[in-house]
Amino acid sequence: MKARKLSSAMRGVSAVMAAVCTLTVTGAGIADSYRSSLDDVLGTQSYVTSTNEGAVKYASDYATAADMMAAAKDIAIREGEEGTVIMKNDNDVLPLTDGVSVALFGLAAYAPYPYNSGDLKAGNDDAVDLVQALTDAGVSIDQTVMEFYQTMMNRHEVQTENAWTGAIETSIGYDHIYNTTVGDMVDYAITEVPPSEFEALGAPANWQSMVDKDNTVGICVFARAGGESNMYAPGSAVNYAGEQTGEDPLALSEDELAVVDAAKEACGKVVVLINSGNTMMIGDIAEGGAHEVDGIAYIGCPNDYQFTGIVNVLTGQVNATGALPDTYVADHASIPAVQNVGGDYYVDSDIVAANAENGYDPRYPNEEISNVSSAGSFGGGSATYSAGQYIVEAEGIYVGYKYYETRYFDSIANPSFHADSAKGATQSDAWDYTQEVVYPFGHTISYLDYEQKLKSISVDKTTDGEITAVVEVTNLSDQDGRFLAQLYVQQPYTEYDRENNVEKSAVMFLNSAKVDVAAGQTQEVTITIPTKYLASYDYTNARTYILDAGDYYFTAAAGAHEAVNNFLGAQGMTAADGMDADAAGSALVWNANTELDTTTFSIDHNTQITNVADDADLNYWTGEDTVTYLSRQDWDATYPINYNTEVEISIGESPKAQEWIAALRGQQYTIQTDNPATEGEDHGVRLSGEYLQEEQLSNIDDPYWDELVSSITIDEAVGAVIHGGSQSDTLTNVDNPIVGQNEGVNGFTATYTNEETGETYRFNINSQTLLGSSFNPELAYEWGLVEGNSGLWLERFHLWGTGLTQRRTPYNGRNYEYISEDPMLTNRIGYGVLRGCAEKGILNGPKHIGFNDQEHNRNGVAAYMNEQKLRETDLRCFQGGLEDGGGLAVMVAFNRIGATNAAHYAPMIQNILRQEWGFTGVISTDMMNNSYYFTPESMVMAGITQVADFAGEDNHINLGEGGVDSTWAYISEDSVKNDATLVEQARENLKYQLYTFANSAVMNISTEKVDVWWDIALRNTAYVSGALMILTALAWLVLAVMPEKKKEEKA
Amino acid sequence: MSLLKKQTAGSLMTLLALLLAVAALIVYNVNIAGEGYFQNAAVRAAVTYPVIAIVLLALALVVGLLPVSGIAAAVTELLSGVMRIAAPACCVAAAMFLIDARGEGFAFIYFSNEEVLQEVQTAANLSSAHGAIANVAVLAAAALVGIIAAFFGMRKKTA
Repeated sequence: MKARKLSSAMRGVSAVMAAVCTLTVTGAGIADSYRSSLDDVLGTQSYVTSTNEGAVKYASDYATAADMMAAAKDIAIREGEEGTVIMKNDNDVLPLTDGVSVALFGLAAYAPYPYNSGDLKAGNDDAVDLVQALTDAGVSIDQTVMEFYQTMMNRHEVQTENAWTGAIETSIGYDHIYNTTVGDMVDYAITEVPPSEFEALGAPANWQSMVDKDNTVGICVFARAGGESNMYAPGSAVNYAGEQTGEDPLALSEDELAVVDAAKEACGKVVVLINSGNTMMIGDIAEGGAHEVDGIAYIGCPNDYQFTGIVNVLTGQVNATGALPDTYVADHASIPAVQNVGGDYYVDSDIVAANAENGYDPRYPNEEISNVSSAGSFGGGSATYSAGQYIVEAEGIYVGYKYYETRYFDSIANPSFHADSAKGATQSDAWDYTQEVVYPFGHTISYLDYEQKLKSISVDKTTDGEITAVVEVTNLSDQDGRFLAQLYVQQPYTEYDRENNVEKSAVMFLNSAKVDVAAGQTQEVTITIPTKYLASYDYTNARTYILDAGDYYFTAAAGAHEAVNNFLGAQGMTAADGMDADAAGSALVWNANTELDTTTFSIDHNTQITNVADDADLNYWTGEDTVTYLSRQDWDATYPINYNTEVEISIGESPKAQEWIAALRGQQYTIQTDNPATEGEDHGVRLSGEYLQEEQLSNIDDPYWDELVSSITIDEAVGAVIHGGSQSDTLTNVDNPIVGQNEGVNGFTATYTNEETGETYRFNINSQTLLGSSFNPELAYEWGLVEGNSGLWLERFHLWGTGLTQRRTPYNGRNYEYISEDPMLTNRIGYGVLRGCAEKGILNGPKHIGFNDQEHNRNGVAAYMNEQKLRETDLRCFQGGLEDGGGLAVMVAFNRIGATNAAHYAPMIQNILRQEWGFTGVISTDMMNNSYYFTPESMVMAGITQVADFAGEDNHINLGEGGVDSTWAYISEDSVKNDATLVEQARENLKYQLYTFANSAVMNISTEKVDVWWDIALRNTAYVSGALMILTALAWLVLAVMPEKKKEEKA
Repeated sequence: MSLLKKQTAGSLMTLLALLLAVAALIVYNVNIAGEGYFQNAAVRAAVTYPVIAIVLLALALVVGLLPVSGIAAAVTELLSGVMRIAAPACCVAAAMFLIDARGEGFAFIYFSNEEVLQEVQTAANLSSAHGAIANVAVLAAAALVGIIAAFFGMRKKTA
């Protein structure tokens, strides 16, 4: 009996051990896949780095982390000082005078956005908010109002349990706070507490009379949040009472305006601070508005220390030099780009789905694949082609001020262009600039009276030439101060342009600089910019960049509108001709280009530039002029319609229907079967200092690189490209370092701990919004250097660390990560940041090249446009950093360009980035969250160096069941080994990656993978359980087969 | 009723493990057929291993209950035992492969940035995630019951 029981027990234990062994063996594989996440959660370190003392090419500029942090703080404060924009300043409300008190109104005054640490806010212990900064500056704050707000808001800690670790995490919460969740084109509640509720929420009945009205300036702060995958929906506002108002969520609500009115009643003067990355509708508080205030200032989304700088501006410790990076208009409905935002389905989008009726996808035989857009733009939902929806960016180059100022110019200078049409007019029956625009791009008010005058301009009209402008800045005040000089140009808009649909803005920002000038003195500042940006892209005739013959007007001005008035003045016009003011300054003319030049700028990096993106145009697919792009030659006839609701776009009726469907299905490339690839062999070369001399480091065409990547096996070459995201791959015959990737639009989000003192620092203290409104590329460069230094201190070398997507409309939820509506301002800021990081050997990849200008349906929406727009808007935002600044990485957009996933779009990645721009850096996809939308062979052939899917560091294409790829079952070593083109392209892509690593601070260190405690635990458990399983199984076998009697005896 | 009375704890629990493995398959199929994040997201191992477990457990029941004696009884007990040792391991393997396949999806749905949670945590996606978790839980239960069953014999001791 006992033997029988023992036998059963042995069988049971064996079953337990078999299960445990299976658990640990499979668990080890899973744990390895999520190694970096597990390291973060468990506090382990699977990769140990050691400094290669002899190979340190990039060293920090700072002796200690404290010095480094002090430098970063200094820049953050200067971002506040230089990025705060005084938009309106009447009745000498600003700067705040000595002895004056302030009363702070609005929820954001006591909890400026963002108030919780995260991607936008570092969360250092000594962070400074508005109240603290005012207090530090000695400004008296009205206690009655502050106590009411602070009590009513009830700031408190919110503790939540980390679902993985069980650790308690603390964040900041409030009983009353503005809405920080925008959502994706849903109702947006503006939860500002109206004064009618004040008493009920604890304010004294006579609170207004308790404020010393004559000596108090009311400061109202209103915020609008942002968020990844979030997008504001026009007309979606909900008020404090929870009622839909039909108003724009970016307009000041009635509740907010009531706060303004209450502040005006209580205080002698009132200033409103705009705390948002999204351009708001503030006509109600501007000149002539029903709730006009004395002063308005833009403060963007400050990080930990910017408020010190902002208050330095408000108190006049420094001159105000920030300028608006976007145009503020009376009604966002007047924006041409807003006519096509969000998107919708083609009328027959189901035709793309793979099924018996439409035909199956040869990569997925007999598999039904739908074509619905994924449930959310962040991903999730079932895998589909996600090719059902589209938008048409019919506004062309006319984004932001380029539309408003050009139409204004034409309303004066070119009456035949119908600028006064009702189309696009929201304030009256005929379009009127003065009614539509509240504050123009580049608008800035300096406290100190000054004058900027373009002294000279020289244009080196060669492929690599530069425009050099010398601007005289005269300080007309009696105080020393800093001033902003902005350089603008007007290109000629010729008959050739009109015939060939080449669009020209009447004014184009080129670059800017800041200069310190002593009281009463004049200082010259030199501003340069590559001449290539003067050229325009002619996609219809010359099919390359052209430089028109004619007069090029240059001016220095305090904003785009002042610039365009200077151009009008230089062309002999005055207020009598309809201008809203006489020219404030002069313009210089460069007219050395006497003939249409179609050659000088048609070459870049020895590449002939010609059309590569015809298929980005919806007209290419429909075969007719379905889309009319906005053209200044007839504002009335070409003002954009909505191409989702006013026309029906049918894929099936296209003469290119099959080609279109294939593009939408991600079939940009078909894997070949008759061109065997060469298997990688060890050639004895490695990615190490021994083999890397200057000739290899400076020349990617050096034979060393081809020899190196030819040693990568077929399996590893393809696997390393199509899987990645958290870190790069180890490649067997290369011995390359593993490079981890980090997120952080405002810098590395990791915490640095001084082991000796225990002090901690978070270096991600940049503010993208204020960097943009600083209009100071030199400050951006300084931030880039500090950001690069922080990477060296943290020993993290690859960061997705800035956002350079164009702010096409005010509604995009990620505008707070980006710089401006203007390509050239973004271009110059990006140039500064990326150049600074590159000089410290840090890969700082900007997000997300390729028209990721709306978050709604970003993972699949098709953005159609013509090639002039493609080249002169969003891509130009990135060109400064990647081509001119030597940037080392870039992340590609989530959406489609035309019908093609941007990560498959070889015309952008291969033709423009790699060839025309000579970009040799890392090119990553955004999150690969949909295996039907992202197609591995198309991404390889487009030139992607690494697909971001959060894979581990040792990827192959045989890790799935049956020895195929774990994500795309049609990819395997067998399926790609007979396609030498594909395999060689994968190696070529890895060559760029390795070349970039070799030229970065990655080579400062050696990385070694070590077994951490959970590796050892899992492995030992597997061994022990396996052994026990065998032993107990044997014991059970013996006991089971033993004759019954013998068993009893033995027992 | 008399048939039930003839069963041992081992055979009843083996049967329960088998039913749980079948339930896991049903939950899996409902999960990938339903709307939400994991719709159509097939995981072959989540089918293959439970099917193997079901076959093993079914055979174990049949073989273990065959009215044989002598060497035949010993052989059937050995066969039945091997199958009952292997079946829970199959369920564990299925659960682990399922977790591996669903891990990224779980991370999306439960641990996305705060600002996107509202969008990601749709009713359909949460339902899909709950279905996947239930699938893992049922597989784990099948494994656990199968393991416990392995501690018990399949035949009633005869006098």
